[in-house]
Amino acid sequence: MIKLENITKHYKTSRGQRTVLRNINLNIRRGEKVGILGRNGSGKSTLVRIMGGVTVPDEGKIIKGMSISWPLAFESGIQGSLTGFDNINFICRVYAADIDEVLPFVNEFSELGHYLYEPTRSYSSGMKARLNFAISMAIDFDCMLIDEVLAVGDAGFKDRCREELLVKRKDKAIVLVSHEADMIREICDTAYVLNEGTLLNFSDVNAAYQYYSSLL
Amino acid sequence: MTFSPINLETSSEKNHNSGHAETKQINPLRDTFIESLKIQTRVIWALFLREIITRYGRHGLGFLWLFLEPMMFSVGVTIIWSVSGMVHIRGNSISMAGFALTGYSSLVLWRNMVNRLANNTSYSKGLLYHPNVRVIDLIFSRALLEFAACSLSLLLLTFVFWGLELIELPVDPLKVFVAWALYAWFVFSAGMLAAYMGESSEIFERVVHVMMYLTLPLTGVFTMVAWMPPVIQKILLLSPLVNGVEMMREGYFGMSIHAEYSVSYLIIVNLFITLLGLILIRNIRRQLIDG
Repeated sequence: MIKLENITKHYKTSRGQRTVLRNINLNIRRGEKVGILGRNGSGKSTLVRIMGGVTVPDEGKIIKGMSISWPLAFESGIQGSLTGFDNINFICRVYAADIDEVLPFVNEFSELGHYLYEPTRSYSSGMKARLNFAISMAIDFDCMLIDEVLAVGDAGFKDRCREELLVKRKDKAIVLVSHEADMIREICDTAYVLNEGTLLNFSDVNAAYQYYSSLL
Repeated sequence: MTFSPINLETSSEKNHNSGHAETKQINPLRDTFIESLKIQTRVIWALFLREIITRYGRHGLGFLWLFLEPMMFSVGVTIIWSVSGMVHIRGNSISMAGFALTGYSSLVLWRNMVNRLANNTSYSKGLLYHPNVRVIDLIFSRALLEFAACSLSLLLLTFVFWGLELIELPVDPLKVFVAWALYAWFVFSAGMLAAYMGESSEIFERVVHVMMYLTLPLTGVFTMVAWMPPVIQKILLLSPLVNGVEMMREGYFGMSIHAEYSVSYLIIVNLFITLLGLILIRNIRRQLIDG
């Protein structure tokens, strides 16, 4: 279980303080697939960063009863000057994972081939997403935080993700935030809409989608 | 796969145990501390190796540059000082080679560490997405690499110069070691301040090189305190760098030289600046991530 209680977050801007998240409450159970829809700039990434422990909220607290991946966004968690392989090595060391077990999986899942030995700054955003995703999958977190990245993968990669997330690792919780509903509709069983810093809960994904469409 | 990454920190409650804690008996305070220590060591080691790979490449003898770079400086300066007569040594107690070696090795550590730490953090921003990687780890691992490089260079050159009969081996190696450690501690704590300044102001990155240049007279590299008039001696001894270098030279050349330094002064200044650095650094993560 991951529990967010009254999370509030402000940012300083040149025009004074702006509240990005206002009293957010959210529970994520083991194996639950949660989708969060929100427009660009609605605070989705901030919420995911707070859940992943990358940044701290100004108010409220998080109770973590399972291990959580780092937020899987485009540039996050990997370093451009290092090769894919060295990034894998680095992340394995940080999370005390065994490179000998992680590498074969990443190799197969990311299908990066010899690009694994090139600096990741030369990767396309799709390739970065594949690498990032594959590593975090191999490290086997209880909950995956996914910030848009699935959107850039090609059909084959999406299929592999679906297979891995929905079939092989059904017990894995997922938090998927996105500005588009397709992937959320397909994967998630609970849906929220983040609008102007407030998180709205919907009984089913279609209802969330309808509300979200009305905002656009 | 059996490993389970455990994040020990929650955002506002430090002592909460996550993951699979319910399966074993724990003594929360001690186990949390030991576990945190393990994580921190792991992270710093990972960052340290990453730093080597980024800077020197993973192939061939690239890592030799680690200590060849500072060695080249020290050797070059020894030659220039010996030939040009730029630096005047009073009395015959220290050879030019010994004076340049002890001085310039210290200077390279000071200059390299502060410059590198001043430009450190923002380009490593992506790594902060791993919550166990903290800003202090980024700074510490980089400082550790700088320290290892300069120490190796000093050690090797000491033996090389000894082999060439330019210097004797240090009279008191323990004193050299303690002096070098205290000196490096000061340099590291100043480096933390530089890291904070570098992150807080864009101007700092531009002026840091000039600032380092202006500190040259206060490094104690070019002269011994005892050779100076009393007024200047007082000013020089306010500099922790001077205290460290003087002590190290006493360790190398013994009582035949007249060194002026205060270990307690050095430690007090170090403690104060380290504390200040740690407090300031706590805020960098927020600045980096939240912008």
